[in-house]
Amino acid sequence: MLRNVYFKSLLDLRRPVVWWSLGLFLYAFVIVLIYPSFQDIPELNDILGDEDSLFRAFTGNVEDFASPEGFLTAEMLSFTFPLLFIVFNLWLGTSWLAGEERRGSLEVLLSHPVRRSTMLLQKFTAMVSGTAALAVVVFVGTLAGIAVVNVDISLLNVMQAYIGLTLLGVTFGALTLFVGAWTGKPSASVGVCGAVGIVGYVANTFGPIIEGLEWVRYLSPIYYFIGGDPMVNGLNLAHSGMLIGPCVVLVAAACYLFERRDLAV
Amino acid sequence: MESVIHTEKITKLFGDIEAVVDVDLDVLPGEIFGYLGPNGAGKSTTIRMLLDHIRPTRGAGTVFGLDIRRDSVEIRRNIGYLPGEFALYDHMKGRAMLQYFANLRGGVDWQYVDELTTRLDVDLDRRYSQLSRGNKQKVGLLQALMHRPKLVILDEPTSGLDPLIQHEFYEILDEVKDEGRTVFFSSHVLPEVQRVSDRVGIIRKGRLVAVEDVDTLIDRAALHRFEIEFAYEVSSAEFEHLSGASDLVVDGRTVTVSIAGSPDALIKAAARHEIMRIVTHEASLDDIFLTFYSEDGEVSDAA
Repeated sequence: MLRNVYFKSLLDLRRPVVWWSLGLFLYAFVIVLIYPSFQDIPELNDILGDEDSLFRAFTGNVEDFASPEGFLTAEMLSFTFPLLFIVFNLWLGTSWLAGEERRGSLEVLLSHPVRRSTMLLQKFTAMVSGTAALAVVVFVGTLAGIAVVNVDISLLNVMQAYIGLTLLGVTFGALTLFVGAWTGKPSASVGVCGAVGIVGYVANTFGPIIEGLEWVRYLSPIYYFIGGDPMVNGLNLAHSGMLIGPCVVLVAAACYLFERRDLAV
Repeated sequence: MESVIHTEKITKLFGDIEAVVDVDLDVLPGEIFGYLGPNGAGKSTTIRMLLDHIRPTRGAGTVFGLDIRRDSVEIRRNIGYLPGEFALYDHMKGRAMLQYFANLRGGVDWQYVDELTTRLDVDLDRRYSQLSRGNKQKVGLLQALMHRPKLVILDEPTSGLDPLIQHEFYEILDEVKDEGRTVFFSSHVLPEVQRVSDRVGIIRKGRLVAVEDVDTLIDRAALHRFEIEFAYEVSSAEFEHLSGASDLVVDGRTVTVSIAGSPDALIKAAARHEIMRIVTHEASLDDIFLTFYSEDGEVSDAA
């Protein structure tokens, strides 16, 4: 398991992924279990108000809160899971690059015959693997809930929604690596990624209800995860491209910048 | 004989700070080369450029005849490196960590690793975070030595090691040399460099001020400062022009003077008077620098 940087990174992920999985599984499972008690309250939609209401914004702007798709989107995809998947990648991207550089273990690692960009790519691949593992756990948790209570929803769409969640997470991971590769500073790495996440959330969630600012959501990475309503429509390929594209560019730029600069001493 | 390490006017500036300036180094195969200088002289900066961790502002260098920038991965295949300040992975046990590093190099001879582990007295079954400072240093040494690299680069390797282990470590370095491999190590401790190196490069304020055989350095290092207190005041004239003397100060009944080489002339001159007390100090590295190596790199001929 310690064959190279990729496998060593996976090994490092073992414990955190187990604990996160436990939490995520329970969360997805419980959310599905409580759905039937909301199913029978169609008046919820009236309470939430019309399309431009603030209430709606807080529930992820779903059209029909009482539908399985609407409920699961509001409770899982609109806030909790994006937040957790972004935090997971922000943590890994920071501690594995800028953090390792700051601590001083990177200097030992890079005295071995490993190219800097190879190391960075292997770490990124391990981040993608870890994030995908969490998405699988969330899917299994959702399935477990559906197995217990009767929820009429397309499993294919649910799966695709979680694939989108993985894309969102690793795009933030790529951003974190990029900032770390560029600056070598853990604080910048956390700061920039956190700021983009928060501003992205606000822009996507509250942009649509502010007149004249509807367009700002198109700048938000979160929009390209949830804007196409994946629980209803499955994965929107064009939207996914708007995550994958920047992700690839950020990782490539990270490799380029990291190869060129002096390591922090 | 082709140098293992060769640099040409290698220079590193950090803004206005001249960390390393125009250093020309040649380290020969099979020698132990000590890189000696006070803290902040530019030792680590030089070493980091050899490993491509930082890039020269100007100048160039080769290791094994390969370019330190372009061929760094190939060079690192045959280097073992211990940084002056480093960390490893807190949650991992020593053995797992060495396994990892060994895999990155495509395998090592574990019998040799076990031998080194025993000789340096390291417990590889504990997590890195639980190790003392000295034991962390030993794990660092192990990862630098375990694959029998053609070139071992060690930045202040003995810091934190107790004297017994230091002795064992010097033995290991001698064996590395006996196998025809090369050692480049930095230190700010003169006796250590004297003890293990064949040749010594002295760096001060980023400039390589001298490269000497260690015997020459030992001669120079035989510089002592004498402080002699007499029963009454003496005239400074009696102590001027003694062979090997410098920095004479006469203050009332006390005469202070630095002597390179034998103190015979001084003792004979002093013996003409009643002596209350003699104190001698071995010269510090700084004294030697100041006495023998002026700032522009010219070696003065005080000796």
